[in-house]
Amino acid sequence: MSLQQTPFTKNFGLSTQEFSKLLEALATGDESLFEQVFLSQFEPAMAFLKLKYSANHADAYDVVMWSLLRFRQLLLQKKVNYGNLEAYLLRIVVSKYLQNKHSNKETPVEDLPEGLTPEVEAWKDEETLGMLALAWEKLGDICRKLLKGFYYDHLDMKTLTVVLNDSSEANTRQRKVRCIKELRKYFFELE
Amino acid sequence: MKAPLREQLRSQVLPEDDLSEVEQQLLQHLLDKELAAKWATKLADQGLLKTPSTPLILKLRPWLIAASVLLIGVVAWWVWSFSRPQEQVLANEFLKEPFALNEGFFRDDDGLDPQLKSSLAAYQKGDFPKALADISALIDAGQAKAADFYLAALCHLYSPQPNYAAATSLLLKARQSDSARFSDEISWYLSLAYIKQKSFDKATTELQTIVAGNTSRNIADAKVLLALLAENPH
Repeated sequence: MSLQQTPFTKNFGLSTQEFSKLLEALATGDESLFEQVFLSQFEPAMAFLKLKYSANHADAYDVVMWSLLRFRQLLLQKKVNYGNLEAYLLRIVVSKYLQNKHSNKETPVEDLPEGLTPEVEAWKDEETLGMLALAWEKLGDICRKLLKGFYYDHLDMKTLTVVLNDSSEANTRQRKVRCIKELRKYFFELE
Repeated sequence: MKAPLREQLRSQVLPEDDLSEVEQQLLQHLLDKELAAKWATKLADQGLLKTPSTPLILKLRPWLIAASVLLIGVVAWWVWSFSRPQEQVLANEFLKEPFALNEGFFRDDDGLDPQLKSSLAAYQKGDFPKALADISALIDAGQAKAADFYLAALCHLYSPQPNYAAATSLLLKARQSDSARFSDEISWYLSLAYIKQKSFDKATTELQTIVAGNTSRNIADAKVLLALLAENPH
């Protein structure tokens, strides 16, 4: 797969059909098309921040990475429409950069596109995150796929039932409860 | 000392069929890190790193450093001569999003005749060669007004094979035809067309006009370009 840098175009060179295909693939766990299209925008987006906002390399890298992670989630939540994907992504990039830059000041939430709110970082501690990472590793593949699909990719139960090849939505729902229980068992019992 | 979050969560009654909000945020953070690490590897394969590697020159002995500085100077001069400076890159960015032209932009006295309407329709569909062909017919007939020259200039700028010299000539004709119409926009697009043609003094003059006028939507961008042109005298 090539991640060759491509210049910005209104929809990153995607036709409406290609865009629908990309969303479909993403929802079923196939990230390759998303990565091919959007990671190719990484460097141009960084260059934009550097040129227009005099951002340094590392800050620009972090902001574009964060923005693409959020953009991917917004795509999965179908909150982004085909039309001007470039402008939408750049809006996230710029808003996040300005928010970080003025992090010691009050940044209005409405500066970020709908669905994106500033993160609350203060309460997170490395010990807890480390334990969660270990618990996540111990969890089976199916449970990881299900919980990631539901909580991170915001897929609905119907889609997850298809992705997991379950017999019914009710089964997937029950499986979700079992997976949560298993994750908590590992998370809380680890020493 | 505050107990780790895990301990706080352990002591809480958590819903059986759902992750609590805090658990969801922790999971989001973890999966962000996982995905970011995966993408970082792919980006690194393409040579894009968060922290650019330490220049080799810093590891060299002093006499080697001196020689390297000399060599770098020569290479930098060579690269500078042949590379695209920042104002070119930025001008390209500003020219990527076509100016949103619609009928509301024109006045009654522009005489929205079928030729202009047809050109405008093609422009709105992004078919700039057709838009240019349609409006050129009107210009060739000697009936053109400022709006027609302006539309034709934009077509040249956004065409798959842009013609910056032709765009410049048409923008100047638009200005000559009616100095008040589109004055800020004409200055803006003239500055970009001049930059593309490396006529930096003329570009600077147009950008200074924009900033001094204080009415253009492009003031902030004009200031950025002015600063770049001032930083990198040609």
